[in-house]
Formats: sequence, C-alpha cells, structure tokens
Amino acid sequence: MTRYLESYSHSSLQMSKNMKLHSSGILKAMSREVIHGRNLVLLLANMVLLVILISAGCTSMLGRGIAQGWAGGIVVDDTIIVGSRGGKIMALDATDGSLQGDPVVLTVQLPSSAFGCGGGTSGVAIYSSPVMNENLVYIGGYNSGKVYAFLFDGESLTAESEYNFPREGDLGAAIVGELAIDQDGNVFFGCANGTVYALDATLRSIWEYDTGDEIWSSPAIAEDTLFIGNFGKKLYALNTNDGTERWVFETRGAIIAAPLVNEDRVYFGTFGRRFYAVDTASGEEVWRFPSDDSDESKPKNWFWAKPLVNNGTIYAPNMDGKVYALDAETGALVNQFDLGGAIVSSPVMIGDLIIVATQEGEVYSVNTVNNEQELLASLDEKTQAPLFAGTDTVYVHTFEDNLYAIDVQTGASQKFSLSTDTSE
Amino acid sequence: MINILIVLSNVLFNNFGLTIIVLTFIIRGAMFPLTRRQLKASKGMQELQPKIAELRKKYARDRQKLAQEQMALMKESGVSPAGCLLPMLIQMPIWIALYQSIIRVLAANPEDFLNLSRHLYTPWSVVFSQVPLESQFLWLDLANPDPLYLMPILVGGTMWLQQKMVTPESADPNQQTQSQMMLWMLPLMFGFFTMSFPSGLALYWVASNIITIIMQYYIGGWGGLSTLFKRGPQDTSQKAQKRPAPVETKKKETMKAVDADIVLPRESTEEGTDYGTSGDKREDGGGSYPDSIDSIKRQARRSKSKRRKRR
Repeated sequence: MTRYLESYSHSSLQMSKNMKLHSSGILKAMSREVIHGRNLVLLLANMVLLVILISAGCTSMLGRGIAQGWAGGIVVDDTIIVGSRGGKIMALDATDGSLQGDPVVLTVQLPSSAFGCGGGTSGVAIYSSPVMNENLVYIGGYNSGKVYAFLFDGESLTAESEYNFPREGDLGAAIVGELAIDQDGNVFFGCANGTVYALDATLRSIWEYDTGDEIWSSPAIAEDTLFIGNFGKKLYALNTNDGTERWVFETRGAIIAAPLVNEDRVYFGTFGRRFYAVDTASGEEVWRFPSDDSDESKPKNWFWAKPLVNNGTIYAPNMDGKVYALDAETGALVNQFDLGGAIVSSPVMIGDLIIVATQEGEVYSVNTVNNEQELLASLDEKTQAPLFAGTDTVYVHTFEDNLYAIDVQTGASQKFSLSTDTSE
Repeated sequence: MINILIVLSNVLFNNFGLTIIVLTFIIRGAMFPLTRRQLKASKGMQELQPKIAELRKKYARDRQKLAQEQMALMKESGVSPAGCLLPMLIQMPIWIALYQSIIRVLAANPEDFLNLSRHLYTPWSVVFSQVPLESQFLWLDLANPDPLYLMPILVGGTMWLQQKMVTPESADPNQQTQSQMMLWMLPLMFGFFTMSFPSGLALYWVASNIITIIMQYYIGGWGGLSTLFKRGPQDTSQKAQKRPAPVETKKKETMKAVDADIVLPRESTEEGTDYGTSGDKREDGGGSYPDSIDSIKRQARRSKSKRRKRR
C-alpha cells in the first residue's frame, strides 16, 4: 500500500511538474500526459477512491455507522443502574450522579479485518436496558452475543460471570432488545439469530424457539404468554412454560418496536407504518391504524419506540415525529402530538404525563388529561436510548454518554457524565 | 437510488443479490453511450501511441514543439484528451451513488437503520415495509464479507481481465512498468478491500467488471487479452522475430545507468531521417554491441561528437 501511495504521489508530482513546465496552456500539458491516457484515467479514478478511503476512514468508507449502543437504565430506590457506551455498567447515586462502586466493564474481542480496521478488544455495545429481579441485574450485549448477570447489593454492582449465558462462547448473533422477566423470575429475550430464549434466574436454558428471522424486538409477557416480533413481519405468541407456539400474526412490516400488553390485547407498531391491536388469546386482529392506505393521517415513518397506554388511549410514537393517540377499543385516531423530530427513544409515563424525547434531544411532556404538550428541555444531544423514570424525574441517556435527570414538573435538569463519572 | 433499489428488490422476489446485478446492468446500460465514447477515445489514444512515440523521439529536446505536434496529431485524428476523462467524470457520481445506496440499504446495526430511515421516500409505502431486505444470496450474506473468500478472487480476477484488455503493449520500458503496475495493483487492491467489505458491494463490482469486459469486447475486441490467446506453439516464429528487441532494451537501460546525459542512438534520430532498426544504418557502422562499460561510453562520446560536427 505504501509503495502504491508513493507511486501515486510520484505520478502526481510528475504531472504537476509537467503542468508547470508548460505555462502556455493546460491543454498543451494535457496533450503530453494523454500519452498515458488510459493510465491517467485509472490514476484519477483511484486517487478519488484513495482520497475517500483516507479522508473518511475505513468504517466511513463502508458508509456504515459503528454499533455503539444506547442503553437505558433502571431506578432502584436512590440508585440508578445504567449501561453506558463503551460497555460499562454502573450504579450512580440518583441525587447527585456520583458513582457507587466501580463500574463493571464488559469487553469483546473484535474480529480483525483485511486492512487493519477492527481487531483488538473493545467495550461491548449495549442496546438492551438493564432489568432486575431480586438482587440480580441482567443485560444483553450487542456485539458479544451474551447475556450478563450482576449482583446488586443495594450500593454497587458486581459481575456474576459464572451466570453469563451462554456460559462458554456466545450466541453468534446480536442481542438488541431488552430482556423480560416473568413472575417466576425467568428471563426471556430474542436474539438476532432468530431464536427466542427462556432462561432461569441463574441464566440456564429452559427452552428455545426459532422464529427463522432476526429478532431485535423486546418481548412482552402477560400471564404465561410471551409476545415478540421479528424481521419476518410476524408477531409470535409463545407459551412461557415450554416455548410452544400459541399463534402467529402476520403483518406488512418488520417488527422492532416492543409490543404492549393491556387487558386482553397486544398493541404494536411495524416498519410497514401501521399500528395493530391483536387479541391475546386468539391472535385475531382487532383493529389496525390506519385502517386503509388512503388515510391522510397515515404515519410517515417506522414505529420504533414502545407504545404506552393510559385511560383507554394508546400513545404510539413514530419516527415521523408524531405521537399518535389512538382509542384502545376501536383504533380511531383521538389526537396526535407533533414533536418535530424522529422518536426512537421509548417514552415513559409519570402520573398523567407522557415524557417523550426526539432524536435531536428535545424532551416533551404530553398531558394525557388536557392533551397539552410542553417542551421540558432541549438537550442538543442525540437521544435514542429508552427513557426511564424515578419519582417526578425522567432520565435521558444521550448519545454523548451523558445522563440527564429532568424534573417533569419544573423542567430543571442535572447532567451526569457517564464517560468521566463526574456530575455537573 | 436507495428507494429504487428497494422497490426493485420487491419486484425481484425479495432477492437483493439479483437486485444488485439487475440494477448494475440497468445503470451501466443507460450509461453505455458515455462508456462507448470513453472506450473509443481510449482506444483512439492507444492507436496514436506509436505516432506519439515517434514525435517524442523527434522532438526530444523541444518540448514546446512536441506539445504543438501532439495537439496537431490528435486534432487530425479526431481524438481528444477530454474524450477519455469527461465521460468517466460524468459517470463517477452515478457509480458512487450506486455504491453508497447498496451500502446504506444493507443496514446491519441499529444506527444504520436509523440512517436509512431518513432516505426513504415517504409516498412509497413499499420502501418502508420492504426494509430490512433479505441479505442472503447464494452462499453470501450480502451485508457481511464473504467467509469463503471467493468474492475477492472474483473481483480481482474480473478486474485483471478488464485491465488487461485495455493495457497497451509499449516499447518504452518505463511505460510498460507503469502499465504492469496498474494491471496488477488495482485488482490486488480491490481484491484486498473485498475481504473486508460487504459481499453485496463485491457482487456489484463483479457485475460491473463483467459488463465493462463485454462493452470493451464489443468496442475494441479482446485488446491485450488477445496476446494471451495467441501464445502457443504456432507463434514461435513471431517470438524469434521479436527476440532482438529485449537485447536493445537491455542495452539502452545499461547505457542509461552509466550516464544519464548520454544520448542514445535511437534518440539521436534527426528530423526526416529514418534509421529503421537500431544499428542498421548508423554512420559508425553499428554492428556488434559493445562488451564493456568503457566501450559504451566511448561509443556514446563518438556519436555525440559526430552529431556536433554535423550541426
């Protein structure tokens, strides 16, 4: 490669030298250079390629982003447990953001590529927010393909690596969605290899169910039924006891948004820009929004974030920047709240307020009683992680690895840096 | 182009590998007039090579005159230097757009998906519901590099064939070296890249290379590849005829190495004089090649002083 670059620079120098020699006109200089016309064309083409490669870096050359994760968190008494970028799981004091104990750092060996990009060790990317049962905290790793367990003693976290699933190696595919825990403390999750896994509290396998298509969605559990969607545009209802299939509901778009179970219905949105209500027992469609494609109020982008329900109304955030308020019984559009930016973060409910953030970091509260929306804070930081709530406080983990604690009544905010472990 | 790729994938049975191949064919087909101009200009330029080489010999010491004569020659032959470059420059943004579209559509992680969502055309419902695309094609996961390393070989191989077709044979060893470097360096480089790039992109490169080979064959025949086909027992007579050439080249290189200021007998050719084969009609009688460095220097000094006298 070095020699190649040298030969290029030599050719370029030679060309510029020749250009200078003939100040009488560019065309005259070109006329000499076109003696090697074909080579000139190739040189030009490859110089463009090399410039892109060098200036943009290997990964950007691929036109791809690096998976960096955007985990949410949980609040346990006065402690926040959150997964930061760089694979750190940390416990913070909820009042001032100070670190409680040392963060646990999860690392993964990256595969090395052909020309030096990648390789080495990196922090695990975490998209799956932590979940907790008794004193055990669980989290899924994206690029490690593992589920990790931690012991929380009320103050700090300790890795319980002997509980990790699988015990040896990994699943060979990413874990994107959150984990779900049933009333028996069993842990359920979907993996990008298309399989739904059921584990006991110590992360030993109970059963597996292969859906045949990638799963990024988080599961929802109601009584002994688990609901989960996949890239194959299907929503599955599985028996949590043995993993047998109760029913499969087919839609017109991939399902990434976590489903919401309320009473005897499961609600979910899809990449097909539709939102569905399905009967939990029979798997029959109750309603869909919009009911037909010509509907002018039709959502304009994907449903990515998890919906919420309050007082018989479903609140479905969409990446077109709107939150659609739908009648839970009929699916009729009751209201819509335009926040002006894509909604990727799953919202939270605090009292009668729905707290929702746009990708640009605008945090709004939507009052479900009087249908008023109010801007709580402008963070000016990319926001994609699910929001999580304490009493009167919403926590927003931004892409810059800052955690904001925003008082939903006053809008006052505190900023905790997860990368430096200091608060501002 | 992202949206066209997705819609086309929907039409082509959700087969994204097939979609890449078909769209590459469509785009390269639509750009065929430009490609043809470029290839023709390139071929015309190749055909002028011997004449340009003669001009270079003739006006080795007068660059201004050389430039004028070259321009005149190209004007006379209807070949323009811009003819090679302009169509290439016009096509380049389209190639880059196609390349970027393939990469974006093959979203692999959540960040890629969010990025892709910004490029989808709102009125077309199908582009939203079609994502994520089926990335399996034959043995390949189009979003990831080929684990069997067959695609790097195919990319490198087809690129070498394409390059070989348009690489001119040159008597100038410097130019020949440069051509050889380009002939091998590009395929090796792209083959190397392919080992890390998504195989969907490799598929695009292979399809694109094959189309270019077909176009080149249609416009200019097998080009440099014909020399490969001709190499056989029946060509021994041709080989025998060509045999003296390397000796001459070797001699020339040796002399260059001894003294850069020494003017070679070939370059001492004067305007209007055709000496034909080197050594045939030289005033010093030519004949045997010198067998030592000193004799080479002496011979060069002699021809230099004779040339001065003639002036």
